[in-house]
Amino acid sequence: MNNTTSTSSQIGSPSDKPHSPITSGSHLNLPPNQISTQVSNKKVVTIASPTTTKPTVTQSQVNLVNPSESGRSGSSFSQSKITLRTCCGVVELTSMKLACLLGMMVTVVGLVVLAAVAIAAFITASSKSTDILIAVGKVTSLFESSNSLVLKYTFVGAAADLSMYNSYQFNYKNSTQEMKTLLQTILRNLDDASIQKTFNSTSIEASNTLDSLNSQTMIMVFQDQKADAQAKISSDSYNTILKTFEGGLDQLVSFVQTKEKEKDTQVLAITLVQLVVIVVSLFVILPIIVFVFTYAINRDSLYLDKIRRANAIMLMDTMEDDGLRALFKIHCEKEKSVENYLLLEKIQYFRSLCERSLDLQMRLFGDNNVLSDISSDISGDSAQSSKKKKESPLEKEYAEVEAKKYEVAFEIFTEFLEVTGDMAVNISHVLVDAVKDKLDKFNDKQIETLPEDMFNILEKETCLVMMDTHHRFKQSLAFQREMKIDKIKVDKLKKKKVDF
Amino acid sequence: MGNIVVSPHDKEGQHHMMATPTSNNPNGGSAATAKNKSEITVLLLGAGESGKSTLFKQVQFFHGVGITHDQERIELIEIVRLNVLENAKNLVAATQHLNIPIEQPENRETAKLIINSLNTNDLEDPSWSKRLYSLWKDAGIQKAYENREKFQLYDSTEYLFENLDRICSDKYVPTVVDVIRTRTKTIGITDMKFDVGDGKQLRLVDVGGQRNERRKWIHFFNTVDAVVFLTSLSEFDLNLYEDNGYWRVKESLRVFNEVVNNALFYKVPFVLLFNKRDLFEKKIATKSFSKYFSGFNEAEEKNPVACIEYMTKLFLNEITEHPLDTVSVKTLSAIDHDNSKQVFEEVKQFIMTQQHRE
Repeated sequence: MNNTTSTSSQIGSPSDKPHSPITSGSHLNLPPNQISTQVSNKKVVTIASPTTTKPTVTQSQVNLVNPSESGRSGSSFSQSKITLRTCCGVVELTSMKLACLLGMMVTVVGLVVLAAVAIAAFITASSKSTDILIAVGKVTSLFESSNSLVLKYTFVGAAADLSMYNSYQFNYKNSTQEMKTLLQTILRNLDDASIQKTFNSTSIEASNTLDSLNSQTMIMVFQDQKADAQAKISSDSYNTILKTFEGGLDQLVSFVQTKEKEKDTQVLAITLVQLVVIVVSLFVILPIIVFVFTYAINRDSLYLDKIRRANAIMLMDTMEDDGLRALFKIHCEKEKSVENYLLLEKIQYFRSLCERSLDLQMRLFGDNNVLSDISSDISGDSAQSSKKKKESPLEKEYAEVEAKKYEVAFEIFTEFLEVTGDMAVNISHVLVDAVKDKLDKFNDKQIETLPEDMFNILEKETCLVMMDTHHRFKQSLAFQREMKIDKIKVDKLKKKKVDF
Repeated sequence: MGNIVVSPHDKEGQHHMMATPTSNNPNGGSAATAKNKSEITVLLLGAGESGKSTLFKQVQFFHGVGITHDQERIELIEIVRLNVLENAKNLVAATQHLNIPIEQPENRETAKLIINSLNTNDLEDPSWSKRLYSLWKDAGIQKAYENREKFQLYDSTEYLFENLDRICSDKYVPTVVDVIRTRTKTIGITDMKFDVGDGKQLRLVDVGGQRNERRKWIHFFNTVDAVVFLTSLSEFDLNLYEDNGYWRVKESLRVFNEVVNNALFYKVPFVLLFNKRDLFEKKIATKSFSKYFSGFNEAEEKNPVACIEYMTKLFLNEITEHPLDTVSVKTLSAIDHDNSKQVFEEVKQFIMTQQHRE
């Protein structure tokens, strides 16, 4: 940046060229009252001329933002009510509230049913069928392995070979013991008394008997009675015991399979019930949700509309309320934009003078008529002098008011509108020219009186420009305190005012 | 600091917004002794419509305040619609002033209503969306729009007309972009504060830029720690809102000269932001830049970089007193959220660095 080279600033202004910018309305030569129509009618009323349009529209707008209404439903649907007398008092239910209540009840009932079904499902799922089947598998395996050990030892075992006997005996006992433990576990897990009894009298009894026979057989082999041992394990009684054991297991498996089929049926029923509950709940709740959501959106729009309307009248409300107006002035001073506030005040004063002027004109007009009637039977000269005497105070006052109007209008022009004014506001020169034109015409006697609406557009423009300021004012602590506490001491606030 | 004298006018009747220290202190007072302050005050200065408030709103938006909230934006519905009406009215008026007929008969009817009776409440009716859009697309209006340098028109005109279907609805709530692009004249002085680390806060102060507002700038001159001066690149063919016969570039240069060479700002970091780069690039594609700057090479007039360089030199040549090593120049499109965020971050870093250098 330090090395910036110098550039010759031979620049030409667009004003040197055929260039004549225009602003709104300037070349249409529209009178101010016509130009004003571009601004919202509502806005015209709310932020401008309080004397012309204030009463009717203000009232209606105030009604729109009446806090007592804001809590009510915004549609006829929600306003139809059902009154219930309860022990706790009278409850008024709108259709919307009833729909919500119905939705909630259906949801609660649905949830209760689902909870019951879930408990049933839990109970069903907590049966130990799988554990039993796994245990049966292991038992079968151990049974086969211990039997094969006995068989093998019976046919290949050597008599009086203690180490061999011990080895087979050890393995056999291990397998049998483990099998018996599993059989006891199965017995404990059985939740049906009949199958428990059957299982106990078949497989468990048979396993004990078989264990005894197998032990005897192995001892016989060790004592060199191999032939007897082989005959024992091939005997019918031995085979019967084996079949009894296996039959018990088969019965158990059949029982478990039957139970599983029942469980499947129950799970199916539970799922069906769950589906039914969900479908019914959705069928009832979904329309309610859609309805409530739609209503909420519409309600939101209503609130937005109310807020919009409320915002539109806020500045005027502030200006009409003595306390708020004083606070707003302080706020404007803080933001260094008090000239706009003062301009509005001055315009209001001008308008009050216009009202007075209009009132005087009406009285003058009325008095003239009365005077002419009274003086009809009096001679011309005396009548004239009487008329002059009676009219002169009103005329004098009228002239004074008109002079004051001009004075105030001129002050507005010189102080607020002229760019050199002490309190010049930020407005288009078109508006300044329009006011200047009126003042010039009055000076040149082209118009007899300054029109009441000569500052209307200016007022609207100023109000619009002040919307930002007013919005920040509403966020200020002072405003919020004023809205909550009726009796706020403006003077105290003024004293406490901190310089910006 | 010496006594401050405010001179409302110079010999040519132009407003001075500057405070002139009457003491002989060459440094002009204690403006720039902010190294140990917990609050850094940054002034956004510049002539009217240079984009100060747009940048201010963007910064508010970065920090989740102001227009971030629906409630805030609802209050601006009237302003947005008024912008639409102002633009429509100015365009219709321009067709008459420039003697360009509105071609379609139905659009001529719409134009009459706009001039005579249309108000912002009417825009709640969606049918106005079609009517206004049809008017906007009318060949006569488009021709007037092409000649928009000849009358006052908001930068956001095209955007607003392209979004009429949303704006002309009773359920309309302005979006953040709507608010950013809406033109509102700033009056008075507003500020916001936010943390910048090291236990410091940055106080950003937004002010009005029109002539009558500039006299208020003085209230901050003795406490300012940095100045961000905005000027619009796209205003090279425009005249002032408050004074139709006065070229905006000339006004910006004059205001810049008075601010940057003010003795109170000798030690203050100074950022010159050339705003509306997006509009500028569009504009020079169809308008002659060299027509307004006789010292500029005509062959380069479609090159935005060359044009901006020239503008930069033009502004920097105004600096006669301020040390150039505390001046930073950047370009900006304030309506672009990301660009604003990036540029403002750079500006913040520059200011913080300058503060540490002190």
